[in-house]
Amino acid sequence: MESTDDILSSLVVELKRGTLILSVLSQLFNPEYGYSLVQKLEQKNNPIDAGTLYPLLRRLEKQLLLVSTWDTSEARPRKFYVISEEGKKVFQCLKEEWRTLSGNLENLLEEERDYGDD
Amino acid sequence: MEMIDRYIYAVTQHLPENIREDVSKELRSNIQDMLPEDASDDQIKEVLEELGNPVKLAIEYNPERRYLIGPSIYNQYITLLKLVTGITALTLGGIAIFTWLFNFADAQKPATVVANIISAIFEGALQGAFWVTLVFVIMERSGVHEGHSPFTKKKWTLKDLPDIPDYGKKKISRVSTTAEMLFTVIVTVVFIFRPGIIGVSLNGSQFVPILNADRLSTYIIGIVLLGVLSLGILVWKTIYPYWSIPLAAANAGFNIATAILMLFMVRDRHMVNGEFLKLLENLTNLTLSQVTLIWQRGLWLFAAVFIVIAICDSIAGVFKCKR
Repeated sequence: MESTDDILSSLVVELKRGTLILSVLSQLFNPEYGYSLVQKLEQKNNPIDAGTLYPLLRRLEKQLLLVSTWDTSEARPRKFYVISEEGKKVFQCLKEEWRTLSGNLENLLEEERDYGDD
Repeated sequence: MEMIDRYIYAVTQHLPENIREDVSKELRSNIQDMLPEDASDDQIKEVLEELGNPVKLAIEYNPERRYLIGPSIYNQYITLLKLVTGITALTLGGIAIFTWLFNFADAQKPATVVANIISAIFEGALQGAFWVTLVFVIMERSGVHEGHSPFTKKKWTLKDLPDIPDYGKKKISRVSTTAEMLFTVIVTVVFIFRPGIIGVSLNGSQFVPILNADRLSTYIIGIVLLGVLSLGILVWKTIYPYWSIPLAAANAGFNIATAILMLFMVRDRHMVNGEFLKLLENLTNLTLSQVTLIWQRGLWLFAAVFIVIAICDSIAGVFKCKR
């Protein structure tokens, strides 16, 4: 049997998964490379596992939401990602969706609190 | 450094060739970014452990469908795999025993005989497993099993909803399907691997094959295709054991294809083993050309009967859906 803690942590992962793309797109209006984005998200209290983020960047690029370039000017070559025009549109829509979703969900949660107070 | 190389290798090994190099370059630069200058082994270890199991990372990089047979048809696949593999193994093994029993000409060592039979059983199992797997891979890729028409990505509608399994007279019994499967496998295997055992020994003469094996081999592709098609239909009948329009259509298609192949083979005068005709000539008072003529007429009669049966079977299939 899974312990309640295990169940909870896997549910939290599920819950976060959908928001990952939103947080990544929001931080890529300026070019970033893999690790710089990890740090940036960490500083802003939105940490993502490096092992999740690196493949995600690639997948978003494949979906044409991001564009990448290899920067070879420095000693170590780095792959920089930046949001594409298409990505900006998707980001705006996704942001709207998120606001509606979290607003509606908030209402549901409030309702539950009313019952709890009785 | 060596540890990083091994880690990157472990990830990219699981990726398709075309993205391997780029992923490995990017992953290396990311790992190096996460490390300070002149990192110690412990620091490297920590970073790699943070990235986690390389196989999982590879799946994240390439999350596309990477299986031949998915969970939705897996159980049926296993059932049929066992059934067909058993049938083909027994058939080939049986034929090996049969050949040995009737092959008086050369006395073989017992060890050779046993080895032949075992290798025949093994070959049968492999052949069976291969063809069943092929049929299921086609089902998986074409999406037939998901209830929509093959090779299209149409949205599911209520029309695709299957009936509750109360088929009444439409029902196809498991026994007849299994028997047909056995028959198909035996016929196909005999035609492909051992056409020589179709033969006669009349009035104490030597055993003479009826068919000309060399000539038969020119039809081998047709025979294999028909065997696979028939196996596909039988797999379908096992999974959905009732008559439906698509099944009746597939059945009719198979009958037509079989009839066409048979007509080609009957028309082909070189299909018959010359030795066999000579044997008939010796046994009767007729000349070789007369024997050949009668044999040809017999074959045409056989073909006509076969075609009539095929037509009846195809029509019966359609009628069974209507009931």
